[in-house]
Formats: sequence, structure tokens, C-alpha cells
Amino acid sequence: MRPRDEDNRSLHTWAATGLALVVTLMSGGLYAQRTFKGDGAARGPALEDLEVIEASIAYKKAEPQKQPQKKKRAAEETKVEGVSRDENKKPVEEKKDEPKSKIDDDPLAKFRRDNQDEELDVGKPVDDPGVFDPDAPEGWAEETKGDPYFRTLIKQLRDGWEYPELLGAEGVPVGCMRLERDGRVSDTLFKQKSGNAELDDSVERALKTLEKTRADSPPPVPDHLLKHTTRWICFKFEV
Amino acid sequence: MLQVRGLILLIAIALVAAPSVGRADDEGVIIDVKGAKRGAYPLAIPLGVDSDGDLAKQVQQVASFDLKVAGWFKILDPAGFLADLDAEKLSIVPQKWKDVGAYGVMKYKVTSTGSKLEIDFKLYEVSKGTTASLSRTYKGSKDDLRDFVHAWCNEVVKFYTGEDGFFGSKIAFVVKKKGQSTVMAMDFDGNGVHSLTRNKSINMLPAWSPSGGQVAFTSYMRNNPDLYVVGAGGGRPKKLSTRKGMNTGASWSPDGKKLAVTLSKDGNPEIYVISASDGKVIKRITNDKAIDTGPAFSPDGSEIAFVSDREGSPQIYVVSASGGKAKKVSKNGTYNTTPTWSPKKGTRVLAYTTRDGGNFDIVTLDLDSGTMTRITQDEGNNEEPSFSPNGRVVAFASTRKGGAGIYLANSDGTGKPLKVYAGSATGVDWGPAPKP
Repeated sequence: MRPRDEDNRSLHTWAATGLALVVTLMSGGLYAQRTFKGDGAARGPALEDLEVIEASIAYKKAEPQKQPQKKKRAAEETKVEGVSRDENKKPVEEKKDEPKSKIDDDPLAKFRRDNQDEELDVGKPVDDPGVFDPDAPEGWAEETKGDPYFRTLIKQLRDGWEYPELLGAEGVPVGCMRLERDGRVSDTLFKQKSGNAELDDSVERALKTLEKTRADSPPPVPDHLLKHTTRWICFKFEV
Repeated sequence: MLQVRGLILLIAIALVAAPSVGRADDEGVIIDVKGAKRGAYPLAIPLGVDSDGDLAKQVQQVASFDLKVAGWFKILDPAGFLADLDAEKLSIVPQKWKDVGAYGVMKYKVTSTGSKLEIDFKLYEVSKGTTASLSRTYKGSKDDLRDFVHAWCNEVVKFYTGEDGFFGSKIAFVVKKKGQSTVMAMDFDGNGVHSLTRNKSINMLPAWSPSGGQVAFTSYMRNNPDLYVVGAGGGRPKKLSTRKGMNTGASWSPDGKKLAVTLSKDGNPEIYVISASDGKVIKRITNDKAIDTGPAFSPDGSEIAFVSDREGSPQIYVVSASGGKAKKVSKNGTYNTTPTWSPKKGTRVLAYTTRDGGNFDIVTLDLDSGTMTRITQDEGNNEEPSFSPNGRVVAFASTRKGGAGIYLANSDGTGKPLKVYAGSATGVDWGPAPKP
């Protein structure tokens, strides 16, 4: 019986070892499956992920960050004209039950100037000069340099002067106009053609456009510039 | 006698002294005016007369769209034309066109007999009078109408700018439907949409060859992201790279002999250059533990741009096409992907997708000057840019308010994008200019 007992013991030992081996292999397999499931190198990424990875590596979250922005026109604030304001000034609460000062009894008080007004620029031109620089060495006849009326006139002329980008810019045509006392443009003419037909055309159109722009209620010519209403005012056009 | 002489003298003095009204010799001041507004060229395209009505309308529509997209021209509204078109026929009365602000006038006449078609085109520059500056006649079948108009518009662009036009070129893209992705192609203006792949698998990332004769794409038709090449008209795709792992993101070299691709055969996605004829690896370009992907050959073939997350987030890098150290070029933001080069000669300009706040937008970056230009802003997600063959226009996929689709925008950031394909699309790739 002993030999058989020996055999049984031996068989049990082999069976236990085999079972342990099977369990170990299964556990190992399961572990390996979990561990290497996402190995895209060998199998390739999941179908639904691949394009995203290729196109953008989108799995990386990033902090929102602004790129350079296109210029936007800021909303214009409506302000009451002629009122000087301190933007940062907090509203002062009106004190109640405070005795009135003597000045409140002064009937001329409302006409009295605030001392702070001394700091204000008085008589500055209010016209928008656009991109013109009155101190620029070029672009201004000495006689009219910086004059608000002429600045407005030239801005209107330039606003209506369009010349296609793909055309050559050679040549400097000279076009002239007659300015009436009431601010209208009564006549235009070409004094000097540039030899560039399209450029000359663009100048002709710009002068006509100015004539139309100033046909309805233009600002009358101020007294100190009236002498210019009797002569041609000419413009050298440089693209 | 003395009295007569005195009178003549007085008249002469009076004439000399009088102001010379009507002449500019008496100008008071001469003022310099510098800086005209440099805008688009106003071009009139009136409906052709003595023509088949429907065909004439088609010519007008195709030409107007082409030249509008070109970026150089402003197409004038025909409703405002003053000219007597029936009297003018193929000629012009310049003043009538000058009066409506036109600098150029395009005239044409379409005649058809049966299936045959003939179109006479003339281009006038208004300031140069009644002699046409450019004339062409195209003869063929009615099916050729769009091609003829595209060809004529390319001539017009060449005439004014000296550059080749891109009218008649094609755009490839991908449409997803019911778990499938199909590579599609269409004319750049959205006409003639057709599929290039017909398998029911996932197909993506199309890339036109420089000749326009082939399209490379990645497909899962054999359950692995493999690289294929198909003819521009569709047909049976040819396997090019079926290595283990990723075979994606193909970009053709300018000579069409090589492709830059992403391969992960050795474990990690890296950039390689392979042969376009047999798919053999010519050179491994990157070797980094990060993900390197989305390669794009520069127009002269000397550089490759790609995306890498080697610094933590996806950014654009540029490396020599012969290998070496890559340089990060994307500047702002923590998410920049899908780089593509402007094909314009003598420039080093990239367009790519960037995340700006919560949305994706398109920007361009001049690598030499460092100047960044926005193409899109505040209008949905805008992704996967691709330049027109002359670099003046960018196509991209967008989910903007006007509806998801493929849009075209000026590459200088000006103007309003035009939709050419309505529907969700990805993988936009603009093909080469058609051969003249």
C-alpha cells in the first residue's frame, strides 16, 4: 500500500502544482491584458480616437489663453457735450440739513466760472483730423497748414479717393477745385495728368465725390479763408 | 485814332488783369494729398447678350464667384449698371461704366448648338477706352462651361497680377456618416461633390499630390490605420504603408516623390519620410518620447512642420527635411495643431488651428517676421486650414453661425468667409492649381 500511498501523494503534489501554475498563468494573463490594453504602438489607437490624435492631440487639456485679437471697434460712450467729468470720481452724496452757504444766495453764482475750467483747452478744433498730422513735413501747404477747415476738407477728399491695390502707383496727378463761400465745391478740373490713366481716373472720381459730398449743407468757409474762394485750390495726389 | 488805340489798350489791360476763370493757373494753394485707399478692383460682369439665357447666367455666376474669391476684385452689383447692354454687345461705352465706379468690365457671349458650346470673352479697362485688353474664345461641349469660365478667370487674374489663379482647383475633405468616414472631393467653389473612397470603413486625412493626379489618405479598411493612394477620379486604392500601428497624416514633398508621414511601427508615433512609389522609409525625422504627428512639407521641400506634445501640450514645430533638431514655432496658447504651409514662393508662412479660450480658430504665422494674423474669431469652431494654390485664400472647416461647412477666407485676415460646402466636414485639403 505504501507504494500506492506514495503514488497518491505524488499525484496530489503534481495536481496542486498544476493548479497553482494554471491560476498563476491566468492571473498573469489577466494582468497583462489590463496593463497593455492601451498600447497603441503595436495595435494602433482605437478607431474613434485616431483622427482626433492625428489632427489635434486633443486629450491634452489646456488652460484657456487668448490669441492676438482682431481689432474691434469699441462701443462709443455717449457723453453730454460741454460737460467736464472725472471718470473715476465717486458720486458725492448730498448732505442734508446743512446750512446753505452765502454764495447760494448770490444771483450771479450760476454764471460764475469754476476755477477748474482754467485748465481746459479753449478754442481747440473739434474736427476729427483722421490720420493727418499737422506737424508732418509733407502734405500741407504752409498757408493752410493745420487749419481745421482745410483739414476737414482734405479728409473728405481722401475718404473719397480709392485706388485699386493691384494697379501701379506711378505718377502724381494734380487736380483742382473751386470752393464757394458757402462751402460747396462748384467746379473741378485736372491741371496735370500723371500719364497713368487709371490713377488720373481715380483722382477725377475723388474730386467728383467731394463735389457731391459738399453739395448738401457743407460748412461755410470761415472769414479768414475767404480769399481761397476766389482761386483754384489744387491738390497733388500721391498714392 | 488815338481814341481807338486807347480803347484797344484799355481792353488789353482789362483782359490781362481779369481773373482767369476756368483755368488753374490762378491756383491759390497746392496741397499734397498722400495715401489713397487701396481697395479691391471694381469689376463689372454684366449678363452676356445675344446668348443662351441659362448658360449666360451660369457664366456670370461662376465668373463672379471666382473673381470675388480671388481677393483682388470687388464685383459690382449688375442692378446698378447704366450701360445699354443690347447696344454695346461685346464692346463698351467707357463713360457709362466709369459712372458706376467700374475700373474693369468683363463681357462675354455664349452660343450653343446641340451639345456644342462656344464662349467669347473680352476684358476692358475702362480708363483705356474701347479696345479690349484681353480676349479669349473657348470651344467645346456644354459640359465644359464651368471649366471654360474658370480658365478665363485664371487668365484675368494672370493679366492683372501676374500670378496664376486657382480656379478649377479641387478640395478634398472627409464626411462622417453612420460610423463611416468617406473621403470626398469637389471643385473649390463647392461644385461637383463626389466621393473618392467607396469602402464602408473609416477613411480620413486626404492629401493631394502636387500634380493633382492622386490623393493619399489613411483608411481602416483592413482594421489598421494604413496609408493608401487613390486616383483623383476615385477607383481602387493602392496600399502604400501598412506597417504595424499608425500610418497616417501624409504630406507630399513638392516633387511628389516622397511623403512625410506619422508611423508608430517602433512603439511611439514619429515623423518619417517615405517613398511615394513603394512606401519604403527614406528617413526617420523625429525621435522623441512624445507624440509627433501631423507633418507638412514646406513648399520648397526643405522643412517639415509637425505637431508635438514634447513640452506638455500640442504645439507646432519645424524641423529640417533632412532631420535634426526641431524648433518650436507656435507662440501663443497651449493648443496649436494641424499646421499647413502657404505655397506662396519666397515666404515661410504657416496656418494652423489654435484654441483661443473655448473655441478653435485659424491663424497664420510668418516664420520670418513672427507676425501672426487671425483668420477667424468669435464664430464657432474653425479648424484644419488649407491654403489655395497661390496662398491668397484659406479653406477650413467651421461650425459658425452660417451653418457647419467648409469656408474660404482671405489669408490676410480681411473680408468675410464664404461657404462653399454645407455640412459637417473634416480633413480639408486644397489641391494644386489646374494646368493651363
